Amino acid sequence: MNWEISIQSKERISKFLLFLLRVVIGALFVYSGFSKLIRPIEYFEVAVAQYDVIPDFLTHYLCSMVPWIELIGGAYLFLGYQIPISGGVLVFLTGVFQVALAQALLRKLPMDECGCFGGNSIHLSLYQSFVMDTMIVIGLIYLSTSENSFLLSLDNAFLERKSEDAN
Amino acid sequence: MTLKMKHKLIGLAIVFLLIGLVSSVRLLRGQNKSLEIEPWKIKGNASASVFIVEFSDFACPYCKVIQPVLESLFDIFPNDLKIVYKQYPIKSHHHSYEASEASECAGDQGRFWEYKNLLFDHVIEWFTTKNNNLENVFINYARQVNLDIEKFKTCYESGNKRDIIERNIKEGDNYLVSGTPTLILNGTKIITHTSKEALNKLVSEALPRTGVKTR
Repeated sequence: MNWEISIQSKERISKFLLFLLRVVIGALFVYSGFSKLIRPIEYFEVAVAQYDVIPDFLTHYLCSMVPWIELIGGAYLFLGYQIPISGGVLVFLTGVFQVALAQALLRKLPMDECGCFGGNSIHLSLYQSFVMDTMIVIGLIYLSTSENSFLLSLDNAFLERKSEDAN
Repeated sequence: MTLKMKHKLIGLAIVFLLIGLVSSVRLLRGQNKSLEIEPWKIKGNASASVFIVEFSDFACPYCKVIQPVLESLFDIFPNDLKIVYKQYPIKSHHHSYEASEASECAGDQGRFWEYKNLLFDHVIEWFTTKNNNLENVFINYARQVNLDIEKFKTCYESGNKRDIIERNIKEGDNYLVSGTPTLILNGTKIITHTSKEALNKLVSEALPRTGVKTR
């Protein structure tokens, strides 16, 4: 009996922690996308150009798209909508950014900050950003693959409706 | 409507809500469009009916390219046009903010436009200068436009001009500046990377609306 309660409470704690993780990471992406979208695009373009990996003609298109992906992906994750897909997209985005960060660190590019928030709000060094993004990627992969990440999510609300309808 | 369909619609609704939210914030930021008059940054006939406000950054290549285009407009409209310069340094552009400060200090001594031209002409020099030599480079330009060096130095080192620059940036944000240079013709934002012919046409079109005879 005690053994069963212990398993149940462990599961509850795990679900709650995953809920917190989902909300925090989602909010972070929403903030990141939003802060870039309400400022002139040039702030983000300059930040991206500093990494010296993307051809100039692509920078503008990339900088126009990425903040929207962050905002929509972040909002989906925050609300728990299509968690595996939104999580997967954000893992890909953060993973690509990690590669850019890693090459900047290896090449010792003279950059004071990562430009992750469009170069005008929160300022993080390349190392700080690398550590933070590594944690985010791990968190996102865990969220996207775990079955316990649906607490208070839109996906869960629909699953419950579906099972009610089936009954 | 099936549950699957509802699920998809919710996803779409979230996207539309976010687009609405971003657009509303952009719009709200664009509503307060007052501009502070800074006489030292006005060129041309002060009572001209057509005015162009230029939000510019000294380290931006397009801003440099557009300078002669704007200057050439005075040949066509010597009396009917004024140009107002507004600082919009992109903070991550190397030394751009400091260049704006230096130009404002030159403005204190009535040499803003001459100093501005020097900054654009020598952008590669100051852009690549190390931090510890930057002030000397700016002082050298101050000498070239016959400024009182002591006054210039005191002004530059005080950091007093940051308030003006921040105010200009805020004004630019209110006009929804989306890059530099951004030109505002009689209160309306116009395409930035434009040619002399296109600008000439726009100014000509603005003249009849203000009651001035077209050339």
